[in-house]
Parts: sequence; C-alpha cells; structure tokens
Amino acid sequence: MESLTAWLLATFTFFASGLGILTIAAVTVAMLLFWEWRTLLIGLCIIQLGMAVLVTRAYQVNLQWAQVQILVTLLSAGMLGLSARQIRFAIPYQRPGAWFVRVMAIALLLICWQLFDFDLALPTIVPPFTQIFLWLALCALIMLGLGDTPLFTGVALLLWFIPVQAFIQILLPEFRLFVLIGMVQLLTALACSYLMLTARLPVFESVAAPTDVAFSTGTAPRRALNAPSPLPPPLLSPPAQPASRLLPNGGTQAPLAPPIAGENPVAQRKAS
Amino acid sequence: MNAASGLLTLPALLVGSLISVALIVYLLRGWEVLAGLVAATFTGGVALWLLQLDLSNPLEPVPILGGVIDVSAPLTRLGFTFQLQPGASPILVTAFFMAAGAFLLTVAISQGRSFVPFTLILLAGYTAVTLMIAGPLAPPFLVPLFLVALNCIGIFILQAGRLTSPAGPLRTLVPSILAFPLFLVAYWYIDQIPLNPQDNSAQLMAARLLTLGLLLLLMPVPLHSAQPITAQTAPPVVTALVTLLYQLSLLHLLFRVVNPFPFVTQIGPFEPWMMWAGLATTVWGGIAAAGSNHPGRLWGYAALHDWGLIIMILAMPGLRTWPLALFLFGLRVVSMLTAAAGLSALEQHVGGMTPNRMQGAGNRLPWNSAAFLLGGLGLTGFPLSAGFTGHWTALQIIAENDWRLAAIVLFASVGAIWGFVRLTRVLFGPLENRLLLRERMVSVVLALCMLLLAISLAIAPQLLDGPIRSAWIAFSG
Repeated sequence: MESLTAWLLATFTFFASGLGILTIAAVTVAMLLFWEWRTLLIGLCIIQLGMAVLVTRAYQVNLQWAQVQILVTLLSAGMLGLSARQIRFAIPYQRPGAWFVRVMAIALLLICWQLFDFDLALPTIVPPFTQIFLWLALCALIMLGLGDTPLFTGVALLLWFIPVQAFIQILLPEFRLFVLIGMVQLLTALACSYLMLTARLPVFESVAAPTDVAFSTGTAPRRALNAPSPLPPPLLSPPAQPASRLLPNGGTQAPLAPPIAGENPVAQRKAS
Repeated sequence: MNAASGLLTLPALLVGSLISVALIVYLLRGWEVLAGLVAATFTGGVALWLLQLDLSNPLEPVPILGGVIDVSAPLTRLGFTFQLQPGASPILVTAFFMAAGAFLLTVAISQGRSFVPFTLILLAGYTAVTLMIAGPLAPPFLVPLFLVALNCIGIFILQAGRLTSPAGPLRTLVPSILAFPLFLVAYWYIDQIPLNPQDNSAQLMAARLLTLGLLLLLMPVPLHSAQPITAQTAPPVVTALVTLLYQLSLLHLLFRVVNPFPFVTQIGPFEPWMMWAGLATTVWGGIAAAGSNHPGRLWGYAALHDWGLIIMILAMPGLRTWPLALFLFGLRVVSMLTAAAGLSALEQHVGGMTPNRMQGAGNRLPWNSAAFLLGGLGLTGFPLSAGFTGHWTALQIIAENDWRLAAIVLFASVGAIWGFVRLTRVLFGPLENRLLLRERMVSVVLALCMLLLAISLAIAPQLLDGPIRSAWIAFSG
C-alpha cells in the first residue's frame, strides 16, 4: 500500500502545479454540474488524490497521512457506490431540480468569487492553497444546500472533509488526530450508505411543510408519476386513509396522496 | 485495569459493561420486552450506584460482580485518558437515568429492534466522552469530533429500519461535521497565546472560533431543521433520548470550554451571538409550532422553543444562569419523555403520526393523549405543566436585563401553546376511525407514571432542588 501511495504521489505530481490546482477546482465544478453518482464518486477520489499530492509536495507532510486519506476516501466512495448501485433506479428522481438551477448556482458562485475578495487568512497556509481550500469548502456547502438526499449529502460531507483533513494535518501534525478524523469520515460514509438504502423508493409527492425553510425539500419531477416505473414493487404500502376533514373547525383539505414508501406504523416489530 | 494497583477502573467497568450488555441484548433483540427490561434494569442500577458513589472514598465494592473498584483511578488507552471527575458524575447519572426511562417505555411500545442494543453502544460512547480527561489534544477540542461519530451511530436508531424520508437523521450529521474543524483551529490559536501574551488577537480569534463552533453544535435557527423533522419521522422515544443525550453532552462541553477558557465569554462575541441565536430559536420554535398540525412536528418545534430558551439563559452572565439552565434541562427531560410516552402509544394505535389519523384518537386513548399534551405543553412553559416554573424563572431573569426580550419569548410561547390547543381539538374531536382500539393497560400505567412525575414537578418544583444543587456543586468543583 505504501509503495502504491508513493507511486501515485510520484506519478500525479501534476496536481502540485498551478494547472493542477485549477484541475481540482474544475473537477469540483463538474461534480456540481453533472450531479450523477458515478461522476461524483470518481470526482471525489480525484480531488482527494490531487489534494494529497499538493499537500505532501508543498508542506512535506508525512506519507502515512496521504496513504490513510486516500484509503479512507476510496473506502468511503466504495461504500456509497455500493449503496448507490442498489438504488440506481431511484437516484434520477433525487436530483435537486433541473440542471439550469445548478448552472445558475455555479455561475453565482463564480461571480461572487470574482466580485468579492474572499480574503480569508488561514494560519500557516499560503494564499494559493487558501484559495483552493476555500473553493472546495464552498462547493461542499453549495452541494449541501442543493441536495437533501443521503447520497449527495454524503458526497458533500466527504468533500468538506478533504480540505479540512489537509488543513488540520498542516496545522496540527498529530498521527492520532488524522486517524481519528479518518475513522469519523468512514462512519459518516457508512451512515449515509445506510440512509440511502432506506430512501431507495422515490417520493413522488411530498406534503410541503411551510415551516421548513432551512433546506430545500427534495421532490421528484412531476413526470415521474406517469413514467414507466422500472422500480421494484413497494415493500411496505399500507393503504392510506384519506381524510375529508382534517381540522375540527370545519375546514376541508384535499386527501393526501398515498406515500409510495408508506409511513409505517410505529411498532415496527420486524424492523431491525 | 489500573496498571499501578491491578484494580478494575471505573471507566473500564462502565464502558466495558455497557458494550457487554449491548452484545447480550443484541442477541435477545427478538424478544423486545425482555431486552428492554434487561437494559432498563442495568442502566437504572448503574445510575443509582453512581448516584450514591462517594468520590472521596476511592475503593468501592462492585455490586453483583463482587470485588473492589478504584473509582478515582484513570484508565489510559491509545493515548486517551479516562477518569471520573466530580463534574462528570451528574452528567453520567442523568444520562443513565434517561436511558433507563426510555428503555422502560420500550417495554410497552416497540421502537425498533435495533433501539436497545444500539442505544447501549451510544451510551457507552457518551460515557467515554464524558470521562475523557486527556488525549492528543485537550478534551474540549476533541469532543466535537466524537460527537460526529456518536451522531453517526444515532442515525441507525433514529431511522429504525423505516422506509420513510431520512432527512431528519441525515441533517443531524451536518452541524457537527461543520463545527469540529473550528475547535481544532481554535486549539492551535490557544497554543499560540503564550508566544505573545501582550497580543490578544490569538485569544480573540480562538474565542470567535469556539463561539461559532458551539453555536453550530447547539443547532439554533437556521440549523435547527433536524430536530422537528426527526420528531416527525423517527420513533418518539428514540427521538427524545437521542436528542437529550446529545444536548446533555453539549451542556457538558459548553461548561468544559467556558470554565477553563474564560476569555471565550469575556472578550469574544459569545454573549450577543448566543443570545440572538437563542432568541431566534425560541421565537421560530413558537411560531412554527403554531403553524404545525403534525403532532410529531409540533412536538419537535415545542422542544426547539424550549431549547432556545436554554441557549438564551446560557448566554447571560451571572451565577444564577448555570443552575437555572440545569433546572430547565431537568424539566425538559421530564416533559420530553412524557410527551414521547404518549405520542408513541398514539402512533402505534392509530398507525402513524399523520394528523388525519389522529382525528378523535383521544376518545379511545385518553391517558396517552393527556401524557402527550401535558409533556408538550411542559416544553412551552404552560401553567400547571412541568416546564412552567423553569420558564417563568427564565423569563424573569431575561426581563431583568431586557423586558422586550422576555415579552417576545412569552409571545412565542403563546404560539406554541396555540399549536397544542389546536391539536387537543383534533385529538378529542369526533372519532373518525370507529375501529380504533382502546389503549392497553401497560401503556396506561406508563402514561400515568409519566403524568404523575410531570404533575409532581409542576406543583412541587423544589423536588429538583437537591439534584440540581448537587450537580452544580459537582460542576463547579
């Protein structure tokens, strides 16, 4: 493993140049733009490799750190990929709106980047590196803001971990600390993989919660209702009881659409 | 084991026994009643044992297992040192009592097979975090990282194998992952302070980072959405316990940051940021509760309203704030578990938590409906509920500084109370599902016990005086 890491770091020295930094930034933009699970996971691994090369070359960071980080990101991407493969029919319905929204978000980010001088001074980090760290962190935050599904949130959190891990390693070079962060990263990927499996059936119609303003509500496009369904049959679909009257004040409300995934009764004796 | 004396140490005993019981209970998970009873007996027993533990007498006999334990001896593993400090003892006792209460509730109403074993593992994690006194960095800077790991474990029990929207459990992860780097960078700045004691820029930066990190972890508005959505989709008892364990650990972390690093509150923006975040949280909790017709979501917003008030109290300078915050948290525990007991029975009987299914359910489940309503109202500070005295005292203290803030909080409380009044009309309105079964005797007994506890604290809040005083004495060393 150590020799493989050394070979990777020696082969991809390109990432330690200005063009390499731009490539890392471009890969992040491509991830946001395409929003496709394979692209996201491959992009994550490329960014991790690029950052490992960059930090080890520029700051003479321990090779073990790069080794652990590359391994952790590969394992995390593998876990998310395995779950994503199982729910690949549902993923297209989990996109946060049209591609135009994502293009606009990226355009807004680029305009803000040009107009406002993000003069954030990170201790011990030289300005070009500060810029790429900040770019990755902002892209992770935008990804978090756009997506509300386990896969995309998981990828966004892993993307957040990459600059954080590198920065912390430069700032506090402590072996146990980066191992600890790596373990937390793996646990995060595991939790997101589990949640992906529970959300494998797309929600065709969701009741908008007017009080939920913090995050966007991820709903599938309307056309999904008429599309030929390649989905497996719903596992649990208890017949919903449409109510003609919801409130005691005489107000009426249209019956709620039966949820595809079904809201199970509480006593999930079979749940594990 | 303590290498020096050859005796078993308390951290090893607590964490080791929790993991062992979790493994046993995992094997018994098919028999949920038995698993719940075993776990409740164990955690309740440990809580009682810790409560009567005399830290001045290091050698204590171990109940049931026999032998002697060195309660003051540290345990060092992988560079981390764990030891029972006086300030950690009330945190552990509260956590174990809360877990015992939640396990007891699962005896009557299933919360998913994974709940009991995974919660014991979660409790072992929180115990280790509470007992940690040294590590690669000082513990307050590492705790947020451990909280991320514990939140990851919490996700599995919050989702409970349900094929519902995972947004709630997922969102619990985000604030802690965003927050932990701030603590690590703050540690670096604090490390730089001795290099130039005349310059306070490092102190100021560390104070800002720590305040921002704490705020992210406290999940005020607009980072609050995990709490109401989790309450809407996850099993109620699980929601209550996981939320309370996390928030208890946060209170301990806050004390561990503010006490050794007083500059955080003195030169940084701690007070205004916390005050405004708390105010926004309590106001939004009240307004959103007024607009919620989903019982779970309403409960979540009421809990958010109460949490905002605790944040506001923690922001205020003075000697009275910490005992009051602990008092409010104690009442919060009782109110949340009472509401969870009632809501879980309602959910099980009507087959979900959607408002249309709840129509008239109170006619068939009066005791559990009363438990849910009284517990929920306790979170809003309604008179004659458990939370009333705490809210009233908090409002008085806030009004001493600025009466307008107290008036805004009171207005928000009215909003949350309005939400529960509307739900009461739904629950005790005309029954739609005539086939709805009456509540079972076991759940009636549990609801009655919780109601009795809540009403006792409502009419005699001085019952909490002793525990709060001893907790505060232990906290302040």
